[in-house]
Amino acid sequence: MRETAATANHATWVSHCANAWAWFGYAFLVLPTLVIIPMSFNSTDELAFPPDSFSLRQYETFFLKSDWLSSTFLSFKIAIATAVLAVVIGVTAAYGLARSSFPGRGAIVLFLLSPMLVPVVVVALGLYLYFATLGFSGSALPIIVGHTLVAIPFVIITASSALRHMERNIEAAAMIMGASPFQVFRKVTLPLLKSGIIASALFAFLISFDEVIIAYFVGRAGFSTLPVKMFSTIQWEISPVIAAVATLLTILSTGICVLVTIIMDRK
Amino acid sequence: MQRTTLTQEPMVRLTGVAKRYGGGVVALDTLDLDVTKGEFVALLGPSGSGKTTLLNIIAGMTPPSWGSVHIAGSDVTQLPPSKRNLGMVFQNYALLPHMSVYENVAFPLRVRKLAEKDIAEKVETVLELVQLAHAKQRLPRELSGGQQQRVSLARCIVYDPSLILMDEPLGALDKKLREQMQSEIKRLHRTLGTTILYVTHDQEEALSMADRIVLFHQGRIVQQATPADLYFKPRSVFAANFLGASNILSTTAVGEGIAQLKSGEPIQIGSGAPVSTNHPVKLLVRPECVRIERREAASRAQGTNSVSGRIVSSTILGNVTNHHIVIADGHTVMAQELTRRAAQDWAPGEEINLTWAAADTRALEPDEMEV
Repeated sequence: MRETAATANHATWVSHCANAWAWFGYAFLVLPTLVIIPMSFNSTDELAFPPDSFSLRQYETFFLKSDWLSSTFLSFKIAIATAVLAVVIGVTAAYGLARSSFPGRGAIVLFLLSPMLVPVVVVALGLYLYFATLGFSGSALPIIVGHTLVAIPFVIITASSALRHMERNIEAAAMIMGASPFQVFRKVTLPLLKSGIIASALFAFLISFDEVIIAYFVGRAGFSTLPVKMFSTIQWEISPVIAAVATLLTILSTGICVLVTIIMDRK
Repeated sequence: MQRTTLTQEPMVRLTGVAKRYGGGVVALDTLDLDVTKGEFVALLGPSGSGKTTLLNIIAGMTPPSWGSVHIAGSDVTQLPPSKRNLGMVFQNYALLPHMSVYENVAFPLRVRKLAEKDIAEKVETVLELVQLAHAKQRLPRELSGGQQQRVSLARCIVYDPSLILMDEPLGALDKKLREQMQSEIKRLHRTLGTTILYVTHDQEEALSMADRIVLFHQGRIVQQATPADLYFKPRSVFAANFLGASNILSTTAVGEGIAQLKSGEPIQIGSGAPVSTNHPVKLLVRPECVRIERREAASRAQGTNSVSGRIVSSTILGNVTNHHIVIADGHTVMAQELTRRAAQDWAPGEEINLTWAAADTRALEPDEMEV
């Protein structure tokens, strides 16, 4: 009896240690991000930690006195377009793949997920050369296409998992009760996939909103998304506005992730 | 029960239906089957015997490789499930999880574009019939398994399909609830007079519910008969073993209606397949027909079979007691009797005689698969 108690004690001790390590690693990774937040409330003209005063000056500059806002709007536009395109393409692809079996299905899955497997910089370079030949300057379309490409695999994975959790017999039952294929899709499949679709749309939005490399490669003059503008800004000047931008981005990302978790949990 | 009048057209007619998958897998061998209007037919068999495949072919979920399906006189082989006007009850209920009980039952009426007033009226009536009127605003996940299956029954009968298919509808319920639902389904069948095709692997369920049992084995129909006929007159060893407990004796035919065990003891055959002299024949004796008697008191009357044996064990299973006896050829035979306090105690090792009526001895066809 004592031996088993000792083993149990040992096991809890080990698991405590593992927990501590995990928290330490987490803090190590997250703290630098969080440091940005107090820095954004500093009133000086340079980035400094710890901040020596509290003001909303950087936020004022961001919203009222700079060209940051136009980049922000561009990012929103691109991210929304990406979310819509990626969901339409990704969900229909996931549905088709989940509800059929044919030779070569595995190869198609691999092909659709391949943007996730290829380094983003390679995708970006390919798109750059492609659009350079086609010539789409003066439009956000190349960035939207590029972002849609990298967001599709995530949408397919999220939607496929939602489809897998759905009882297949439900659609069969609806069909036998007299519903046409379109009625089945609209009244049964779509409502049941709703949370999966919303979650994957939010993911696609976030992927696009955060993405730098593709946007940097294929974005032309006048088409700098928010992350690209941040990236080019720190190359020329270290403006403390960037801390405010980073803080806002963190809030948006965290907000979306929390939203996705709530939506997925509700199911 | 419901087979009052024989209409000229059967409700379901399957002609030469077969299903083969790639790689030569035969899910269903060529078969014909007619189901009369109002009949309750159980498709019984072990899993993988083809009964669910057949149900899916009738529903239109699986196209047959060959053959045709007629429902109520018209060829539906090429029709999609939505155009066949039949109902189906699934083992896992397959209710629409995002709709209330009311909306679930209303669904088939809505896709048929009925007026809202008629929908309300029909749904209320049907929910009353399955005793769920109080739960109509609840979601399926808030109901018990039995209640969910009642919703799926209601959703079937609400649009009055000509035929209801049931795929192991009570398989997910516990024994007590299952028995309650069995009688509920029987009651609905009697009140509505619907034709029901009921897939099950549970022999008791098939025996207690069906007008006719179609027994499946390895993609074929091995026998179809009323429950009583299937129990008392099984044709093959498979049928004898699948329904109820059975003793199968390996004997050799020695003449017209007479065979003998390896020990040389003669057995008179009461019914069953024709036997040919000097060929092996398997005989069925149901355990409840076998009596244990003291060796010296054993009946030697004409029309009674008597075989010597030794008691191995006796087990009380509640209202019945099973005795296991080794007979002279080395096989074990089971004798079943009602448990009574006054019943004779048989000690293991005791030498006794087993007797049963020749009429209870049935010659079986050899199973094709075993040959």
